[in-house]
Amino acid sequence: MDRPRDSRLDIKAIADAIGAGRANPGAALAALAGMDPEKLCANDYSLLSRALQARPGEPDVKVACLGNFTLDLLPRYIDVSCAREGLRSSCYVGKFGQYVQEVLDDASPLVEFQPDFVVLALSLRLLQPDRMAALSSLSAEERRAFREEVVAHLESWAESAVRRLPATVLIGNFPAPAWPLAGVADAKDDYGEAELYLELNLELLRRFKGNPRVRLFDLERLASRYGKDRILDPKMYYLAKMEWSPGFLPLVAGELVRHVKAVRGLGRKCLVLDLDGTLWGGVCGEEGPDGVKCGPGDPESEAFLEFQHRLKALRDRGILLAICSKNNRADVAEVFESRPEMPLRLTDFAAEEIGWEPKHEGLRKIAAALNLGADSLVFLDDNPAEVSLVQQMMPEVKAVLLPPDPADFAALLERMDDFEKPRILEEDRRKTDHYRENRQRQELQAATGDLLQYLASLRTELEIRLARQEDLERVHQLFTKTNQFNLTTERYSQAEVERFATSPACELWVARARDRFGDLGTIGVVLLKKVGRMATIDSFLMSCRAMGRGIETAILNHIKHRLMEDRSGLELRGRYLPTPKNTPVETFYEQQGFRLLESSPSGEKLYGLRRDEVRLGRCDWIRVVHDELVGSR
Amino acid sequence: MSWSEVDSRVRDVMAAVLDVPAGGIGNGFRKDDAPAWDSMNHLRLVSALEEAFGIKFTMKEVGEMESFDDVRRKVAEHLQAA
Repeated sequence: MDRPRDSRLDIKAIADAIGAGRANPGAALAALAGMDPEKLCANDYSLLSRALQARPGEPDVKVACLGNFTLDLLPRYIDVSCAREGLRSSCYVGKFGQYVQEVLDDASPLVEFQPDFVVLALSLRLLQPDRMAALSSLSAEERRAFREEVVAHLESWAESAVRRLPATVLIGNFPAPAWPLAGVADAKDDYGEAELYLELNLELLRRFKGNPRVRLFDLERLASRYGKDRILDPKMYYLAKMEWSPGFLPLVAGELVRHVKAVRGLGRKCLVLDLDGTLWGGVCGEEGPDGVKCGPGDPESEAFLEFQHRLKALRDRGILLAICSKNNRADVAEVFESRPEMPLRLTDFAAEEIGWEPKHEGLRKIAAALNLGADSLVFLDDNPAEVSLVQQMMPEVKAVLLPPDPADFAALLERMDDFEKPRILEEDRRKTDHYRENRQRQELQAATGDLLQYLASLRTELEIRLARQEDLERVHQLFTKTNQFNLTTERYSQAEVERFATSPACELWVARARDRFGDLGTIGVVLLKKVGRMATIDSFLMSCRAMGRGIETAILNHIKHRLMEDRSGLELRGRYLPTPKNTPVETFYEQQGFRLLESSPSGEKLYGLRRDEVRLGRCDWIRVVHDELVGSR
Repeated sequence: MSWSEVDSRVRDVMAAVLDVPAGGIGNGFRKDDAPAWDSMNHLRLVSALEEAFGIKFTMKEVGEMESFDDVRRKVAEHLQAA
């Protein structure tokens, strides 16, 4: 009601631009991406989703919405949320209450749809009407049994779903009622309603933690954020068995997109920060190291302190932090040194550009130093002019203007969905360390001068072995995020990775490296697919932090050894599929002695290697360790 | 808000939900005139109207809205009562 009329006209213009079959709806989609989806009204969603559906083309992501209540309104919210991320979605809504049958029946429309993501949301009163109707008179024992039944039902459903569908499955938990039947006395009850819901949701959280393809969809948290008094529109429930009021749906769709971004690796990798007015209050060149505001004490300092705490949490999540600031390096260093109450140290930043050049130049250098594309960067600054210049000069960077009040900085950060990950892995936690260690390597290389001497002094050890169950999430992460050293850039799903690891027609190799500066973690993946006497290197990818030191040669030597050991006349094939980012490996197979068999005008290349052609590449400065699993399968 | 403004807003909402041009929604416009006016879009229409005007229909009223005239009369009643 309070929306200004012109903003609705904007939506109409955007919808028209998307839907009119214009050659380039990019600008309209960009405008859409800049809007807060929770501030759009139902009408906006109608206009936008219809326009989006009218676009021709294949979907990027297929979502199935299943449940035992009416979810028919949800898809258009999903379409709009996905479009904000540049994703084209296609949604399937399960037949009312048929979520069990649809998963079990091979001929069901759900199975035919082949979803990438499945969301299951159940209403307890429709799942167990008798028990829910009698809840206030159930004994503690009966309530516990009820909880266990629901958990077991969801657990077995999830098992069938991941077995029968190639999808990542999101299981909704249960918002506890805002008004317990026993009122405030509920907390004194033996296994009261609140306790029932807490344990129910806790059990679901625990049981779905292990499997990477089953994820908890935290409706309890979403409902709390939206407001439990508003999540249900009783009229809509009685009229159409809708458990969610339409106003809640943008949150559900937004949360779904967070999971999609996390699982697909679509987040950004590095957060670049300004300093004065961003990391602390005041200008360090003017106020001096003791004058800038950050730490316990006055309100503004406390707000910057909290913001730094949040940034540190992002760093621990595996997001690289970097500094891009117009300042004197010495002044900045003094602040970090003389203010121990600040949570962030200079060593928490993976790169820094402190000087007087334009910020987009600094951002370019940071991207280069970290081996990242500019589209992996988010840039935060309190100065509108800087933000707008970066937006103009480097549109790939997501440049965000901080709100006028530092009180709101932390909230801005927690709402950003650019840094979502499916799970925080050991490699994520150590990410900044990895980059720091790489800087030390570069310093050593500069000091040594001679390349071979430098490589030898690194004392690199490389472990190459077949992937095990516990490697598969990291393998999937590498498949989703590796751009430069990636010969084919196949973006396999977790389900596909799991299949490769167990299929007799495939060999999935992982490489883990360490050297005198530290453990680089699992940095390389090779996927071999065998058909008859042909073994094709379907994928060969390596983390960019491991490039330039012969590790790729050692890994390929290992594959060549496999070819030499083979007595059946096996032949090796290699593929290169060009992308805008993988030019560093364009001639990799040539360099490794492969024979070019075919090349297409689009730059795609196919290579061959027979046993008698094998020449091992030189990398004698690397000690290769094979563990007991090699070749034993 | 004047009555003509209410009318025009109701038309806008109905046009967006039912995928018809606002100009095509005249006094005699009924359910049968819009193929998209099915039960799900009926609920979308209800919630879009409630949101646009800050009002709340009863279940009974929802069942009684079958034409543009019905809709704008119900909206007007709520606005007058407020």
